Amino acid sequence: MKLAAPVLEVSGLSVAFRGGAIQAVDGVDLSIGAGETLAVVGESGSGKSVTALAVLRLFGRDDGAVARGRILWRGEDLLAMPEPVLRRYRGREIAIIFQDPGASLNPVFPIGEQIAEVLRRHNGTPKRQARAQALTLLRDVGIADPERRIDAYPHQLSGGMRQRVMIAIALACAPKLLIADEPTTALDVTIQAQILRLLKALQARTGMGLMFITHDLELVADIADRIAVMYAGQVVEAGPAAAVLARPAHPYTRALLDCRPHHDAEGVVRFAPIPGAPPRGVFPQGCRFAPRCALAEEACRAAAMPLATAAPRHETRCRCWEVLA
Amino acid sequence: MTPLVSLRGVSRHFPLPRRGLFTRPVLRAVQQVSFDVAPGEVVGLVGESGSGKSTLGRVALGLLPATDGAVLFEGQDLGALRPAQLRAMRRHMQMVFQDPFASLNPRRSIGGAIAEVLKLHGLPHGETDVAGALARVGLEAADMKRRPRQFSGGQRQRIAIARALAVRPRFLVADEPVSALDVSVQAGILKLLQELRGELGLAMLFISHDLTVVEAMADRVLVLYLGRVMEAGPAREIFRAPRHPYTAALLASAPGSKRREMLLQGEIPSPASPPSGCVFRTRCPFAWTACAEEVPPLRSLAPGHEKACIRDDLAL
Repeated sequence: MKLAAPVLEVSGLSVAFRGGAIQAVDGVDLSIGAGETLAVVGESGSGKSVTALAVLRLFGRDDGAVARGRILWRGEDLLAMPEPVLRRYRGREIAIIFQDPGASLNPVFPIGEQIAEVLRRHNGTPKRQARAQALTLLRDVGIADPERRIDAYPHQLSGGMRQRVMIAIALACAPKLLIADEPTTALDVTIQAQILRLLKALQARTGMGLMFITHDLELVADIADRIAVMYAGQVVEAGPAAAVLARPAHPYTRALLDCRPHHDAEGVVRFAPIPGAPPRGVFPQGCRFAPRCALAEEACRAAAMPLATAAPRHETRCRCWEVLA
Repeated sequence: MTPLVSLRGVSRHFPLPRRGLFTRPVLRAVQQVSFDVAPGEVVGLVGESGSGKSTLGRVALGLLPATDGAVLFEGQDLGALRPAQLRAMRRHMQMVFQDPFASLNPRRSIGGAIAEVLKLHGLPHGETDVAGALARVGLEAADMKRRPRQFSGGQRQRIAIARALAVRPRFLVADEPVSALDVSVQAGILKLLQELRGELGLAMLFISHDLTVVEAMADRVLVLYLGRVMEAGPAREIFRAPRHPYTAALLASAPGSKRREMLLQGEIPSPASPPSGCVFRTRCPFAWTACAEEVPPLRSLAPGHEKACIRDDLAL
């Protein structure tokens, strides 16, 4: 277990849209150490992507997003920073990649130029040198035949290769933290395995922290040091990856594991849907998972559910967690 | 038992734009595929994008004519039917797509959409009939008047299933039916399909890139690569003891897999210019020079289990 001082420390983060009418994230605490991988897992609408966007304040002007709390990056509060100052951190210290690499790349410029542009803008690298570095980066992210690909346009590349290019752009300024928002969801399993291996190798080499956002609990088993499970805008369970997967301490985590097909003791394939649907924007009083939870009691619905410690560095927003063990 | 659906040496090619005066390249999406689906059986179709899964699904329904070979439904060659006969046949063969948002008309109430399909096939299409179709997928008669956008993704997929099954088909092609949905919603749709299969004796061609889901749903599995069958066999055998290197590599790539790591290099080549011989050889860690020479035939390994690979000395 790595216990290095966190490079990113999010505390009490809340994000609301449309002047507070829609609460997307509500009191989230997270931290990531150098070289550590934190997987943030949740379904659509859980607030996981909004949390990621909030770190770099990447909200559209029309979103009407209001973020409160603290996002400490190496001791400085990103949330309190004026926009021009924050811009110096974006890409250079903290980089982000998204699910759809096609939408993030500019279709009218060759990929090599797009990588070089980042180097020129952030580091002031001269043109020729930037191109040489772009070539090295393309090689680093496993693009075969980079000399030929460097002048290719995004549409000439497959989805897997485009995601590799996005990773090359993200890594161009050697960030200390990479936020990856569902980076492999649109890819085939074989390519997904390649991209995950690439991210792990790059992380081992550069020591960057990785915040990996996904809806797929099975996927994180392969890469995460720690897991934070989000539900209805809150972190409902957080702990070491192995412990969360083997001994989930929240009924929602348990249910997420059970709804994927798996073999029972007799070798029969089983899966169980979670009844109902997650709440959106407006949350029930008390435990937010209670309306769908088989263990819920009257006391669960009475008041907001605090985090309880199930084991060292393993927390759960459930008062019945001992029953699960 | 006579098969419900039978594909015999089916190929489907798509012409590509002409290059020069004499060359007319073709994309070989499906090449020489044969398999049967028995009544009530679920056949799973797996492979990467570009493997020809979706094309094969459409050919199996007669939505796309085969370039070569024959598709038989209860012994009748779909290619030999007149358009009117084919339309009548469609009642027995339906399809569910990945994206329930795109397959439902946003301006039409869902009851109207279902009534339309019933009417098209000359079936009773009153309110009770529509309500019955909705009840089968866990929706209420009151939902009939609502529009697609008033439903969640999972509910819309239920509506798409209700519409497909309203005409009581015997064969359903489900093309990535849960891929666009959240995991917790996926399980509900899979359970529903399993129940309906038991209730209606439905045969299914279940197409998915998600191997875990296919293992849960299918009796038999076909592994496709660049339009060709690499391995076919009972789901249990395919998932427990794959015999083709591509099957083994796919299983090892699945998230959380405990299989020995076998990472495939590179990506699937273009179906417009597939490699000579075994189409998988360019990514296969076990390829011999002989693999480039001729297309390996499907060989029987055990009853109902075959593979297209010349190597038998591999511990996968």
